[in-house]
Amino acid sequence: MNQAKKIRRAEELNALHKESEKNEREQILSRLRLPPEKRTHFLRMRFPWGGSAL
Amino acid sequence: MDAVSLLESIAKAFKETRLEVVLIGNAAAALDGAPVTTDDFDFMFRPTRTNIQKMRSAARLLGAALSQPEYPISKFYRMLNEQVGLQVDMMGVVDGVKSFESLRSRAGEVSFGSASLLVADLKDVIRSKKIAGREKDRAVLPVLERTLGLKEGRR
Repeated sequence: MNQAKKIRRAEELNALHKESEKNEREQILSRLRLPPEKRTHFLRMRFPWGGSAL
Repeated sequence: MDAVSLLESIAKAFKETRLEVVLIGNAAAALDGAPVTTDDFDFMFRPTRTNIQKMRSAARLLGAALSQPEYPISKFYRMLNEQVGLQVDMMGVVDGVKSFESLRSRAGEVSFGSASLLVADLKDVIRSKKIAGREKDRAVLPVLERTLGLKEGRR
């Protein structure tokens, strides 16, 4: 990978990282705006064949 | 999935049996605002003879089978009702927690239907996971710490 590509890739990854952090922050803040008794969408159900899902 | 109906059943069962418990783990963290998930409910309790009897009664009320998976090496009990997707883990000893009383003193009360549950403070959940040090605990610490920071207004 030449130098210009490497720099572009690093910039893209940095932008993705910042976007991901921003989304996580918004997720947390939206939960904190709810009263605790409403923050209940967290349970994963197990499947008989293994694994689980929300 | 919304845990509210299971939380109502669990809170009601502990209220009827008068068993004092504190919700810990990822369920507590989620109620404290962290965007985490779990497939079970972890509680700390004082494993006295009376409380163990109360726990048996609570398991019956929940239609759950009660077992002691690590008998005899630990004060850990499991209530399981697979039909409704209920797994409640009851612990007499928790990593990073000095005593039940200290955990309870910092816990907040959250209402579910006609009953309520004491939910561990997020700082206690974080400390416990740090001390436990399992890979799944370490993986979730950054988001818990971020949640604590935002709760405390540190943006």
